Amino acid sequence: MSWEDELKALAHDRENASEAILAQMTVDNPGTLLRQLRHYLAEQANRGKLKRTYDAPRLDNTREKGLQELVCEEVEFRSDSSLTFSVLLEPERTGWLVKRFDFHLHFVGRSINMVRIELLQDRGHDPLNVPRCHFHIGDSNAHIPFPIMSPRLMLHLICEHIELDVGL
Amino acid sequence: MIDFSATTAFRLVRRLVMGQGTASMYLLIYDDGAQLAIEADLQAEVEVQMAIPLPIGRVSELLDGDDSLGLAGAGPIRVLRIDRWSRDLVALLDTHVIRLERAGAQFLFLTTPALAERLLVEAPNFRNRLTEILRIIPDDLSGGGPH
Repeated sequence: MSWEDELKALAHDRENASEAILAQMTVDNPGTLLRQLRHYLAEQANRGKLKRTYDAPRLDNTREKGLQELVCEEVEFRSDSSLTFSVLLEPERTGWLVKRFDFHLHFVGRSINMVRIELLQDRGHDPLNVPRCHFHIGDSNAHIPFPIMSPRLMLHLICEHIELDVGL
Repeated sequence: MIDFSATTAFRLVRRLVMGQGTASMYLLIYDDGAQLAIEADLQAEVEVQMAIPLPIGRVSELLDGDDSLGLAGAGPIRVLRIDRWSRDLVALLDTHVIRLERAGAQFLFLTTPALAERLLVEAPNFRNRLTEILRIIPDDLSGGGPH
């Protein structure tokens, strides 16, 4: 096996492990997840980290095949950073599966202008270069592998760690 | 009927969380047909924001039991429906509203515009002790909040 084929095989193994995690990661229903994320953001507002309380995210249930999407158009931090995110959910027999998400954090006046964490809707053909779950930082085109985790945990990671620290 | 400020379960429960441990009484007026949605919203928000179940009963339960207004074992928040007019019940509410306050819980009285209007006229002590009177609307998860 060539060096490149070995790397591709390793990347496929990593993607298989990620898919297994994703398949186990069910949420009760989109309404409950929405309320949990909204409450988390409200707590951030209580602690003075967000500029105000937001009635976000909202639920877009007009998608085909019963898919539902939580959409948060923009929340603003005291630091002037802003966050938009969306989480696409698919109904399954055992609950709702996370099909795709996209958390996009913009910074103002920092050395790094943004961080974007994405879970793509489908597994790509080139996992070595474009892992299904990856992040972008600043103006880089690199797709850096990122662990798949619950959207609730993702929001916490962004609010309590990434927003507070990156690019300062 | 006075046009009271509108709120949703999300906004209201946030206030209740802030005021936890303090007695309060809210009269919540819902539009006809919205009762089930409002109650489901309140239960879901209390579950998410406070991690406790929210019992919902009828205000007539205050007449039951031997203890003080039937409040033994009540949780920190209690929702009571006022879904029909009863002169005895209104008299009881008006007379014993201070005892409700002393229970230390947060009471949410849910009712319709017509019953609220009558209640506010015929139970002045109760009205004066209310923390706030609000119009509660279903939480439209796909739309905006109250305006």
